[in-house]
This record gives sequence, structure tokens and C-alpha cells, in this order.
Amino acid sequence: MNTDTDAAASIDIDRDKGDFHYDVEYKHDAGRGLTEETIDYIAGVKGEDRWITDFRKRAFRIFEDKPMPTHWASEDLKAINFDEIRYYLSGGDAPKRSWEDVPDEMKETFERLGIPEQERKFLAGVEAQFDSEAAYSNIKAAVSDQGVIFVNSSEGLAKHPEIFRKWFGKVIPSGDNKFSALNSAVFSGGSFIYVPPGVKVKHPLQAYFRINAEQFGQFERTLIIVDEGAELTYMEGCTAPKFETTTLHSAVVELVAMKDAKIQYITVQNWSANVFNLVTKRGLAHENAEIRWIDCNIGSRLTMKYPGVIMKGRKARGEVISIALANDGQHQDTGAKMIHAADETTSNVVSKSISVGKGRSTYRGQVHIPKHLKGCKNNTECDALLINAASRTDTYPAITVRGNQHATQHEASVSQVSEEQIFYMQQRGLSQAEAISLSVNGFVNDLVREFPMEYSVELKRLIDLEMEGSVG
Amino acid sequence: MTEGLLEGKSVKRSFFDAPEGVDGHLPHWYTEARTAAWKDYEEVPWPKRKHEAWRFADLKKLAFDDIVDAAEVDEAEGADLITRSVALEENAGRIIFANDRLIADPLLDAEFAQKGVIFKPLSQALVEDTDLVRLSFMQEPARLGSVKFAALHRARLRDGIFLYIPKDVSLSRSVEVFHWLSGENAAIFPHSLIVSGPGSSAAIAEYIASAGRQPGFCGGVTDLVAGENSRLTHVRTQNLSEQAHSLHVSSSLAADGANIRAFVLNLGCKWSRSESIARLSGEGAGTDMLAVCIPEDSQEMDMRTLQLHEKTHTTSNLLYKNALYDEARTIFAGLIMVEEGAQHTDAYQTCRNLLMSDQCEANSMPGLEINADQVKCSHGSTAGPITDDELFYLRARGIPESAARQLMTFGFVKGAVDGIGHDALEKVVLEKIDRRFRRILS
Repeated sequence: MNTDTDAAASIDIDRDKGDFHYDVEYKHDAGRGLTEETIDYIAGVKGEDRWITDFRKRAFRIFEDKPMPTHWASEDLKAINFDEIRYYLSGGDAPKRSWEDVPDEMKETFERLGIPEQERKFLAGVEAQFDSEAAYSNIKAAVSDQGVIFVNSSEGLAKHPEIFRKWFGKVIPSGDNKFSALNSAVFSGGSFIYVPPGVKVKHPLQAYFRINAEQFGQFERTLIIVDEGAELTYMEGCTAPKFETTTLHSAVVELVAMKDAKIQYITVQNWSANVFNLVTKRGLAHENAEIRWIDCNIGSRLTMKYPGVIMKGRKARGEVISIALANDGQHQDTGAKMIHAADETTSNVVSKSISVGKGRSTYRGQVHIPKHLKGCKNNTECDALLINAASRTDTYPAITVRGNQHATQHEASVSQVSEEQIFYMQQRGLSQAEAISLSVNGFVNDLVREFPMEYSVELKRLIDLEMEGSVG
Repeated sequence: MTEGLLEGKSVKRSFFDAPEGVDGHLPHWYTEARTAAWKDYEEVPWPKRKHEAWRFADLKKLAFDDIVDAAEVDEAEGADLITRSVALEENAGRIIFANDRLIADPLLDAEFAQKGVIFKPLSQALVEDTDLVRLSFMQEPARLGSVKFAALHRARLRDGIFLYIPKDVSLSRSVEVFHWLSGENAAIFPHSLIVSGPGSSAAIAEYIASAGRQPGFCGGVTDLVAGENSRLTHVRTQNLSEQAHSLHVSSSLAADGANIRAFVLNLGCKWSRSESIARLSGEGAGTDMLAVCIPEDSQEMDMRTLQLHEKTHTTSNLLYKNALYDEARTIFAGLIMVEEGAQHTDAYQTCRNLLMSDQCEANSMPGLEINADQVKCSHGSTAGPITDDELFYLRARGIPESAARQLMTFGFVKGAVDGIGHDALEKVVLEKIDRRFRRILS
């Protein structure tokens, strides 16, 4: 069907922006495959404390014991060959503090990703992970003066163990799932952030991740602790070059919001279509704290990501706002997990997905309200938009409510781009592609507005730009 | 027979002795399939909690160690049960079973018998209408987790009913089937096969209940097969003892333009599970799936559903309403599946839980799998108590709080009962619901 092809083409987004690759000579390379020796190698290169190495090895054994979760998840997971993956690559140099120290070819990569440009704007700090190690990191003086710690994970563990050890692996235990175990065994890179009590970080902190080596799994580990009454917005954006063989990205992100704290964690994921993106993200919200996950998944071959919030303190709030776009060959398997563990906790999940061509998007959710609590509320909304006849969407929520002091509601709908809308817009001189693009943007508009301005602009552009040129 | 039938997690071989007196003349295809089913039952593994189809189910409650084959009831009890077998004011026919055995002569109005309507015990139909039965007998696989128990049913089936409505015949009054379970730890396996010819219509009510308060097991299967442009309405009420276990697998198959309404009322059982599949295999076919569950004490009611859209212009509408008291638990797992090419599908699924105590637990898994784009699908699931605003409104009008709660709850479940669209059947169901609420309140 011609309109199908047009629609697919019109909605395809520009992945070529990240589709470039420079040969980089890696000083440290743990080789392919994963054994205890790989872990010893990583620990050796990093000069880690004994407890971290023990932590890694315990996790490795859990990883080996756990079966692939294919009894509920996609069979596509079986395509991952763990023996072919390189688990650690590093330039070996200490993270660069000033822009001048960064090697030229890396600079060029970052240039094309637009990082310096971002910094020139108003971003408070940039932590760009180039393969396994952060090659560049900088926080504006104003932020560090407030006592905010923003470093990579190795540095955080080495220099601030008193803060991080307490929470490291506590929100997401290694045994949470097979991939969190894998990450715990081989993690490197990622951010460690600590915001002291009462500090409200005005500008969002930002990190970019890239995968730049064929068959190289990236296992960054991020831990963010926002102390009492403090506030933080963190943004991560991902682009990755295209390669022939599969690439694995398996991150673990732990957030801790102390009493009255607020954390907003924003992700725009645009990995190339050969990446397996299997990420575990969870936050722990203490009394009256708020954790918001704002998540946008556009790229990757298979994404499995269900950001969660454990509402541990009274009146804690959890929120997941999610946009997913699945094109040919892609499966966006996303969702949310809301664990109510205190009275008067509230959670909200809003998910919108768009399936294009043969793309498949899935929502999986879990809401749990135990019986000894009162006054808990959950609202879940999932809407799916199907663009083509072969597009696919699934919804699998699971909601448990105990006791009559709570209220939950879940709603989901599936629809297609309305022919009437398209007709209406074409009547007014818009091309079919423009009309579809406008309609799709309208569908996600109320969520896109939740993103910080430059992200929402970028998101709209991602959906919009490519459409304009693609249909004649 | 008092010997344990289901020892631990497997049924003793002695249980498989063919039910006496019904076997010799049964068709070969039937007995052969029965032998195969026994083998299937033994081979299929016991469900595990990790299995998605059994998520949230309390499998500990599924153990039915002490179950024995149900014995024939004596004459006095039979006579008593016949007097208790009253529901509709008037019907077109009725069949009464106690422990899977006929206790009264089957009735069918001569008017309909003359038009070719068949309404008789399955054991009889297997011999007299064997080709007709064979066409539709247990043709739908148990897709929602109970393959093992469907095989057990197939192997242990003693009797049930066969209803056939010929082309363009419409049954102006409903037919009724009573299944009584009697005796300590007795097991019954009631079967209903209902087939409607093109352009025909019928309504049927099936009442499954315990004679006393003893524990027991009911493993039933209901199959509805609706021919082109025919209409079937089916109501099943389950009112077994609070000690009993029940696992019911039902499926419906709707041909072009056919319409099926299936309603389930769950009141009894310590543990009950009901799997309902509606397969829309014909263009323009439609189905309504309705249920009301009112569990109290520590009852667990587990409802699994599938709305399977295979053809274009099909519609399905599911509305399940649960009112939970005490430490009751409900599980609702529903899936709307729209197959590739099933364009212009309209599918809706709603499960509402009214939480009446601070100890009850409602689990919901409303699912969608959509493989076509020209569809309108939605699902909704809610759980919550009667709100203070609602109570205030009624109390402001002079209605005492307890009466207000009862009114609200009755109104809440009535929404699903209304969907039956058949006044006499709705009345029967509402009477049962009313009795239930009165018992809970007293």
C-alpha cells in the first residue's frame, strides 16, 4: 500500500546523525566474552577496592544462574551472544577536565553530537561517556560550589565511598534481574551525583552516552543521591553509530530521593537499530519526596526498560512519563513499576507509543499497593497509535490493590491516525506527510511538553524534520 | 467409592475406570479421545506460579488431594434437589443433574422438539447425534493455562448437555440446566455443548451449585458454537459451597455475523478459576463477555479471558465487575488479541473492582495485543472503595449508611447484569445477587 510506505517513510526519523565512527585505539581491552578473569581485569585496570571486586563476582554468579526471561519477554533476547561481546574498553586516561585536553578525534565526535554547543548554552555540567570511561567531564563552578558532586562512577566509588557505598546496589540489588546482575559484574562509567541538603540545582545536569566499538556492550552505572529538600534534574541522551553485529547496552540507574527531595530523570534514547537496550532504572523516594522518570525511546532493536519508583516514605510521589516510537525491526518494550510502600503515596504513569511499519511497541506495568497502607493512589494511562497495517502494539499491565483505602485506575486505548484529521489538513494544503507528522506530534504533544525546552524541541524535530524531506 | 482420586498432584489410575453404565455403546472416536486425554493429563506439568497464565494465583489452594468420584445421590436427596431446581418462571426445557447423573427426565417443549431442536444429555447425544456432536466437541484448545485441567475434564467427563438449534429456529423461551454437587469431596465434570444453526437464536442458563456445605470439586467445560447470523445468550451461575474448588473452561466461537453473550456469576467456592475465550472467527461477529464476582471471607476468584479477533468488522465488549468483602481476592487477567488483517475491529475490556474491606485484594492484568491498525480498542481497570461523596449524597437524602452501601454495591454490579439483555434471565441473576448481599450483611 502506497500510503503505508509513505507514512512509514514520513515518520522515520534521522538516525544518521549518530551514524559515524572513528577508529579509536583502546589502551585497555578486556577482550571478548565474560569470565571471572574479565572481572579481575576490569578491577585491575580501575584499581578498585576489594569490596567492589567481590560485589562484581557475586553478581557474575547471579548472572550465570539466572535464565533469560523469555517466558514473558521477547524471544529476540536469544540473539544476544554473550561470548562475542567486549565487556571493557578504555582509553585509560583520567577523565579530562578542560575542553582543551580532550583528544582531537574525540572532540570531533562530540562536536557532531552537539555537546559543546549544549554547554555553551545554559547546561550546568556535561559528563560525556565515550565508551567505557568518561572522556570529558566538567561542572560549572557554580554547581560544585554548592557542594554538588558530579563525577563518573569509578571516581565516585574511589573518592566518596562514605556517601555512595550506603546506597550502591541497594535500590536495585544485583539479583533483581539477569541484566542488572550483568551490569553489576562488569559496570564501568556512568555518573555519580550527590546533591547536599537544601540545594536546588537550577540547570539540568547532562550526560551523553555513545557506543563506539563494534560488539561492545556498554554497562554504565549511575547512582544519584539527592539529600533532604534538594532538587535535581538529570538528562541523558543517547546516540550510537550503526554496526553490523549486535551491540548490548545494559545500564543500571539508581536514584535516591531523601525527605522532601525532588529528582527528575530525563532520557532520550536513540540507539541505532542493532542495539539491545536492556536497562534497569529504579528510584527510592523517602517521605514527601518526588521522583519523575521522563523517558523517550526512539532507537534500538529491542529496548526493555521499566523505570520504577519505590515510595518508601509517607506522601512520596512517583511518576513515569514515557514516549516510544517503534519502526521496522524495532521492539520498544517499555513500561513502569510503581511500588507503594507507605501511606498516602501517589503514582502516575502516562505512556504513549507509536508503532510504524512493522514496529512493535509494548507497555508492561506493575502497580502494587499492599494492605497495611491507606490513602494510596495510582493512575495509569497508556495510549498507542498504529500507523501501518503491519504495526503492532501490546499492553500488559498488572495491578494489585489490597484494602479499601486506595484507588487505582488504569486506562489504555489503541487508535490509528484519524483519516478525517489527515483529510482536513490536506484540504488546507498540507502534504500527506506533513499532515501525518502533525498528527503524530499532536498525539505526543502533551507529553513532549513535559521535557525541558531544548529536549522537546529536539524531539519534535526528530519526528518532524525527516518527514518533511521524505515524501515528495 | 471413597478412595482418594487425586493423590497429591496426580490423579490415581483407579479414577480412570470408565464411568459405569455409559460406556459400552459410546462411539469409538469419543472413547479413544478420552484415553488420549488421560495421557495428556498425566503428561502436562502442574501449573507453576512463574507461569504467566498463573500469575497471582494462589496455587496452594489448587491442591485437591482428597477428591473422590461423585457417587449417585439417593432417591430422597434426588427428590429434594428436584424441588430446589427452580429458577425461571417459564422455560422451554430443563435438565437436572446431580453428581453428573440425570435425576429427572429431561424436558423440552414439544413445539421446539418438532422444529428439530435437540436438548438432551450429552451421553445420549453422543450416541444419537454423534456426527453433530463430534463436529464441535472440545474443538477449542484451553489457551489460558488450563490445558491440564481441560484434559482431566475430557478424561473424567460423565455427562452434560447438548443443545442444538436448527437453521432459522428461534427459542422464544430459555432452556435451563441444573448441576448439583453432593457428597464429601465429590468431583463433578459438567459439560455443555451448545450449537446454533444459521439465523437461529437461543438463550440458556446453567446453574452449578452444591447440595450441601461440603468440600468438592467441579471441573466444567462450556462450549458455545454460533453459526452464521445466529444469536446465543448464555448465563452460568456458580454457587458451590464455600469449601469447594472449581475450574471452569469456556469458549465461544462466532461465525459470520453471529452474536454471543456470555455472562458468569461467581458466588461460591473457596477457590475458583474461570477461563473464558471468545473467538470471533467470522466477519462481523460480535460478543459480550460479562461477569459478576462477589467473594467474601477468604475466597479467591480468578478470571482469565481472551477476546480473539480473527476477522474484519468484529466487535467484543467485556465488562467484569467484582465486589470484594473481607479477605477476598480476585484476579482478572484479560487479553484482547487482534490478529493481523482483522481490520475495523472494535474491542473493549473493562474490569472494575469495588473494595468493601481493608483486607481484600484485587489483581488486574488487562492486556492488549494489536496486530492490525484500523482498530478501536481500549481497556480500563479500576479498583477503589465507595467514595465518601457517593455515600454523602445518599445519606443527605435520608438513607442510612449501611443501606446506602448496599444500594451502591447493587447498582455497581447491576451494570454488568444489564448487559445480558434478557429480562427473565437478568431477574434470576439479580435474585441470586440480592440473596448474596443479604447474607453478607446479616
